Formats: sequence, C-alpha cells, structure tokens
Amino acid sequence: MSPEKDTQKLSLAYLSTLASSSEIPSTIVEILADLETEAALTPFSPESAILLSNFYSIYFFALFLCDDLNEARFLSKRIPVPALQSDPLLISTYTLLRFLYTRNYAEVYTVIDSAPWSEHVSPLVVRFKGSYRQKTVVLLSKAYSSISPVHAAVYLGFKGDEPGLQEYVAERGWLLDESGLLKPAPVEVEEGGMDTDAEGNDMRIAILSGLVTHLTEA
Amino acid sequence: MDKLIDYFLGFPSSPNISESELHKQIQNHLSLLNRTPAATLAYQHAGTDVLALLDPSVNSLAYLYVLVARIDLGQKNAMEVAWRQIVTFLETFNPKQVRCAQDIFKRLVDSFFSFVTESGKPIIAIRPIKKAILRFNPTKFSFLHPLFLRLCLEAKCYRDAAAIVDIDLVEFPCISTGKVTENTRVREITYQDVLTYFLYAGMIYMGIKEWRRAADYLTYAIVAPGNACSQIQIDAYKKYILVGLLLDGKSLPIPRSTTSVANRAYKALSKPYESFAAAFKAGNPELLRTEVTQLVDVFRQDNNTGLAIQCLEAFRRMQIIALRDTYVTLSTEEISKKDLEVTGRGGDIGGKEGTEAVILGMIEREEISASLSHSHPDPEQSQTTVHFHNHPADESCNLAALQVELRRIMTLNKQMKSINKKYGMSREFIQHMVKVAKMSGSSVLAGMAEPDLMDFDYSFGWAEDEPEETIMQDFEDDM
Repeated sequence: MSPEKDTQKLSLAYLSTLASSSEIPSTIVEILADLETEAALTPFSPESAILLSNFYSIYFFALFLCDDLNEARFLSKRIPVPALQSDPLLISTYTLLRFLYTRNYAEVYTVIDSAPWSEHVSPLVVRFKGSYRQKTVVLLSKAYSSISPVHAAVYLGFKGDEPGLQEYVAERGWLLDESGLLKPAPVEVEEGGMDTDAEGNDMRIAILSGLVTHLTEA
Repeated sequence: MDKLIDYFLGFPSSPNISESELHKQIQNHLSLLNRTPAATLAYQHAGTDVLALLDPSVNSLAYLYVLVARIDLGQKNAMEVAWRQIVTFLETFNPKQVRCAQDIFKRLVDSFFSFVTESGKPIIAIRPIKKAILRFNPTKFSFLHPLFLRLCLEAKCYRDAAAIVDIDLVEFPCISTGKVTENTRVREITYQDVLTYFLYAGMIYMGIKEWRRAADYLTYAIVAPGNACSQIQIDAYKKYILVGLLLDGKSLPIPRSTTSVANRAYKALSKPYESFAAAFKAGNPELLRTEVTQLVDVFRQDNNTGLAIQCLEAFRRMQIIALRDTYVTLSTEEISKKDLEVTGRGGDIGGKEGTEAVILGMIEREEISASLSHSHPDPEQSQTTVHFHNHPADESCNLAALQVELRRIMTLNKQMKSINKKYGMSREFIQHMVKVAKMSGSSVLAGMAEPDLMDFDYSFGWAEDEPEETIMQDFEDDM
C-alpha cells in the first residue's frame, strides 16, 4: 500500500465502511496500523478532529475485539495528550479502556451504553458489547460453581434488567436453584480447532504422518 | 539522462529470466550504477521525476541508487520530500536485487532512521521497516533488527514489534574479514547490536507481559560469550531477576553456560535486586514493604520502576497460589485479612471484593485452578468461597500445547539441517578444516571432512530447495 493511497483511505467514509464490515478484528487492526502514520502526521485541529477521533476510536475498538488491551494502552500513549483529554469521543473510549484494564465490569457496560458514540464507531461498539458479554459468560461458567444473580447481572451488563439476565443465561443452560443462586453450566469446549484445516477437514492423520516422516528422515 | 532512464527501465530484461541470468544482469546493472556520478542520478529531468517513471518493485536497484544520490546531494530538506518515496521503496522492493547492494541499502535506511528520530516521528518508519524485515529472510539477523526494535520502543508500537520477535532467529551474519567495502561509513554488525537486540526483544515482551519469552530473550543476552561483561548484559540481568519473580515467584538461576566474568559481574552489581527477590520469595508482606521503600531510587535509576510495581502486584497473586498447598477452601474475606496487598494504592483493592476480582482474573489467565461460589443471593449477606482444585490442566489443552511444541521442534530441526549444510559447505569452514588437517596430519581431513560432504547430496534437494541461496550465498553474508 503506497502512502498516496493511505491519504485517500484516511477518510470518514472509508473508516465507516471498515467499522461496519464483517472483517475479522485482526485484519481491521492491520489496515488501521497502515493508516496510523498518516493519522500521526495530521495535526489535531478543529477541522481534522472528527476524522482523527473516529479513526483512533475505531482503532481502539478493533484492538478490544482482538483482546489486545496491552496494545490499546500503548495506542493511548501514541495519541497526543490534549486530544485524548479534550475530544468527547476519545475521552469515552479511553475511559472504557481504563475500566476494561482494571476489570471494572459494572462501569464497562455503563460506558458502552451511555457514551456519545458516533455513527461511524457504533457498529464496532455493538459488536464489542456482544463479544465482551460472551467472553465474560464463558469465564463465569469456568470460575463460578454458584453465583448470585445480582453479581451475574453486573458481570454481564444486565443491571436492573432481571428478565434480560434470566433469558440470556437460560439460553446457555444455567439453572436457578432453590436458594436463589445461579448455577453456571460448563461451556462446551470446541472440538477440533487445531486439528482441522481451513475447510474444517480432520487433519489428525496428516499431522501424525508428517511427524512420522520427520522422525524417519532424521 | 534519457538514455539512462531507458537503461533503468530495461532492467531486468524480463520478469521470468533464470537465476543465473538475473544475477549476471544485476552485476552489469550495478557496475553501471556505481560508475554513474551521484549528480547525474539525482538530476531532475525536465519536469519529470525519474522515480515516478521507475517501479520500485521491478527497478529496485535504480530506484535505490537515485534515492541515495538525492539524499547525499540534497540539503537537510531533501529528506522532507524523499521520505514518502523511501516508505514506498521499503514496502515494495525486490529483495533479490537489494541483497546485492547491501551497503547502499544500509545508507538509505540509516539516513531514514536518523530523519524519523530527529523529527520525533519514529512511527513513520515502523511499518515500512517491519515489511522490509519480512521481505528478507526474517530468521536471519540483520542490521535492521535492532534498529527496528529501538524504533518500536520509542514509538510504543509493541504489536508490530511482537510480530518480528516472535520469529526465532536461527542465523547470524558472518563478519566479512577479507572484503574492504568501498564506503567506510557503512558499519558492520557488532557484538553490541546483537546484545541490544536481545535486550530490546526482552523489553518488548515485558511490555506485552509475556514473561516466558521475555526471560528467554534476556537469557540470550546474559549468556553471551566474551571475555568481559557488557553493561547491556548487566541491565538484562537486573530485568531477568524481576521477570523471574513475575514468572515463577522466585529469581531464575543464572544459566550454566554464563561466562565466569559475567557471572561475577552480575553477582557484584545486582545486590539490591537479589535482596528484593529474597524478600519477595520469603512471602512476608511487611518485609517486602520495607525492602521496597529502600529500593525505590535504585529501581528508578535503572528504569525498572514499572517492572517492580508489577512484581508487587504479582506478590498477592503468588501468595494466593501458595495458599493452595495449605487449604482446600477459603473465603475471600480470610484471604483479604492476610493483608497481601503491597502496592500501597489503598482504596478497596485489598478488600474481599478486590480479592474476588483478582482471583477471577487469575482464573481467566489460567494462573490458578480454582472455582468461586457465592453463599447467598443477597450480596450483603453473601460470602465468597474459593475452592482450590488440584487436578491438572485440561487434557485437550495439554494436547494442543504438545502439538505446538512438536511443530516448533520440527521447524527448528529443518532449519538446523539446512544451516549445517550451508556452513559445512562454506569456504571458511572448509579452509578451517584444511588448516586443522595440515596441523595434525592428513588423517584428520580424511576422517572429518569427507563424511560431512557426503551427506550433502549435491544432485537433489539442494538445488531445488534453495536455488537462490546457491547463487547468492556470497552476497547474502552481509544480511
């Protein structure tokens, strides 16, 4: 990708398409990383502020989706401090990063639900909320043998929405016992993964024969 | 000049020529480029930019020479214009061609590097240099490696750096002793370059909290051979102690292959770190707090404050893991009463809620095998109990880890074989064997050199596997 093309790509229209595309998060991060030079060379000014704040905000969410909070923290150090402290969109995104990093579940959902996200960022915010909730429910199933509904609601972002929580966990096979505690159901470990190729074919025989060939070579 | 441009565009004569033909053309092309004065190369031809006519991915050598000529002749502001072209070049050049003009390429990268550092925008160079490293053979150390990591640390681009340090290095260039380069400004790769690369790579992994890999890279710096100890190694050792605490809760031993000089230096110069590690290992929060207050300045001087703070955070986690040996179940309230919070941040992070959050994080990162349970639906009356499990890690995880290791070993084995082959056939090695043979009679030569050569099997594999290496070997040595 040549820099000239990058200049054209660093536009709200392009970013918007990227944020609402169904690309996997790591691909989005790669594309944004290529555009970052151009963004870093554009000074924050009233004219450029909207473009840059959307760019960085989308970048942050793509990293959140990759579960790479470390890089998100480093990204926050690459953005000029005045911009990070004055732009409403960046302030919200940065606040979210802080809560994610300190594992403050209650505040994470509050920020996601109430911050003034722009129309360009919104698709990624929605996507992230879903994936964060999914990731948390898997963790809770692993970590808790019984959990109070109040806590579960905080972890999963259903504070004050009892029916919503009940429905969400019931879909995943959780039970409410007679003492009023939720019993998480173990999450099915996905079979395969490593042992399948891109088309999902079983590769175990191929891996084994590869190993045997290797050993006989030596 | 028109003639020159036509000539530039005429190289290579066709994209599908054989390796040996390409090599011949590269040599002719280079000799012309070396003869052409810089002023002619840099000349802006009647409104049209030569570089706009050339394709950096096809006419790489001409593009490179014109760029360097412009930078050499231009004033400081030459870079202001040229840097975008350098970026394009680094992202698209043809490695086979550029390998033959190492010295010029180094000059280009060096000026680019000083430009981005002086202008305070190191980020400009990160992606292009990363792509350039991947374009060459990334398992072979080059002068780009330490430069790149330094840029990444300055620009705080850890994700890009991790992509490079994840690739294990298997080869280091030999220092060319015989050849005298035309331009003495071009520096060779030094011992310090390699050491700093290992230290920086360790620091990259510390940034992304991959302590195992960080410890590995620091180990490479610590065990580096030599008859003196470098300051870089001392710095690496100090970090190594702290990383050990984060990894295992105790300082890692000095590797056995460390030279005795370095060993003595480490012991003499890292006493404060050793006592910090001892206090950490003792598991007494009070002792650790006193130790920290005494060492604040030491850590600050060595730029290790961040790492030390993380050790303090890890202390509570390590102590919770240690509880597993004594208890089967324990409430979070009792754990918080043990007062294991030593970071001194105050607030409620030391309380039972904070403790529960810490344990949840540990379960997520698989640092501990445990489960939590609430006793009552009302949070006011509820108690959280921790059940420590002693069953080993999940079988499928083990299997997956085993497979990853197997693949790694298979790749390493293949790399080792090909390097063995390459160096076994190198002029230096054969000369050395001949020398050894002469010194101790011809029987050694017959006994040692021949079986090695027999293994090489010239007719198959060798030619097919690495056609370019057989031809480019001499030129590759610098890269």
